[in-house]
Amino acid sequence: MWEIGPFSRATLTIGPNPARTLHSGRVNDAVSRAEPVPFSGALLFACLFWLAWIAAPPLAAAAGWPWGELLRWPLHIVCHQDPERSIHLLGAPLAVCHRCTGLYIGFTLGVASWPWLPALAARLAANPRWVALFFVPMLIDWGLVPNTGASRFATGLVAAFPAALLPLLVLAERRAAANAPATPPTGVT
Amino acid sequence: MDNPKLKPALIGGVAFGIASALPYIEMINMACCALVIAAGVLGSYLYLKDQPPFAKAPYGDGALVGLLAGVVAAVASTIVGAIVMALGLKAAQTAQTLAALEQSGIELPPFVLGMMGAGGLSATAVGTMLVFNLILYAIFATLGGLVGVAIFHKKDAGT
Repeated sequence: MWEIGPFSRATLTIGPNPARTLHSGRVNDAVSRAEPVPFSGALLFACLFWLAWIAAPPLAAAAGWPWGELLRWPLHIVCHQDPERSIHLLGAPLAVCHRCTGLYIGFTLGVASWPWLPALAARLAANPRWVALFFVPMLIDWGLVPNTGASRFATGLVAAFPAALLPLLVLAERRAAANAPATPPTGVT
Repeated sequence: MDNPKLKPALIGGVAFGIASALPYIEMINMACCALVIAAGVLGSYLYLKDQPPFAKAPYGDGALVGLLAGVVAAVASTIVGAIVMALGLKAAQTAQTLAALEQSGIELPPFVLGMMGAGGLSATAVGTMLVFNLILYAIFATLGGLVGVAIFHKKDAGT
């Protein structure tokens, strides 16, 4: 069993009116047992692996291993990888740009942090459209104002942090469904 | 597989998968795989459009629709990408990548060059493209599916 914190109890039972939250009913029943969200640790591990991947090329170069450069290539699908628009580590750019780095770090921080922010998680889970609002600063920074490396990184971070709650909700939903008691046959008293 | 999820995934995946392989349009994917995320969002939207309101957002369904859209998009993108590669429309981009690698002092063995499509269209290049597309598109389209559910799901007024 993977466990990174008291996510399940917190997100799914707290709120002004639990009956109106996204996780009412069966999910709340399961959550009241305070079981951890399964595989959330695996998700966090996957996020950390992804961060390690984008940091690997400059670290490999610093260690004198040029083959690390090859790790940049698969990520050309998801990022322009312009060195002038990327964070430099030990004198070489990361495998993705400022904005993508912000998104990935923000997402990883979100996966690690949401289990420890129960009240906030419950509010966001009850109003999931707010997740889209956090992308607005990034879109403004991208299209409307002259941006800098810091602004690209920061707006990416802000956009991805709330979105990290969504896969955790899927995992909680699956756990709740698995733990739900079987419906008794009709007529049984 | 039940049809309510398959059809939206096919529509989203094919539409944005083809777009992801077309020269110039594919560059939109350089904004954090935006086209692939859009495939998941579109899949979720189409799925939810025909569903009754839910008491709670169906994130699991959205993730599944997004995942399927990503797989479909990866296959569609690889097929169209192979055609683009056969027509030589990616030669300049590949040459640029190889030049950058050469500049960093790497002497690539033939099998790696084949994977990168240096010699034009080959089974190795297409296979490599398919594997990377499947992994990356599945991840990003699943996230797109989740975001789509967060935005488009209809709350059941009774709950």
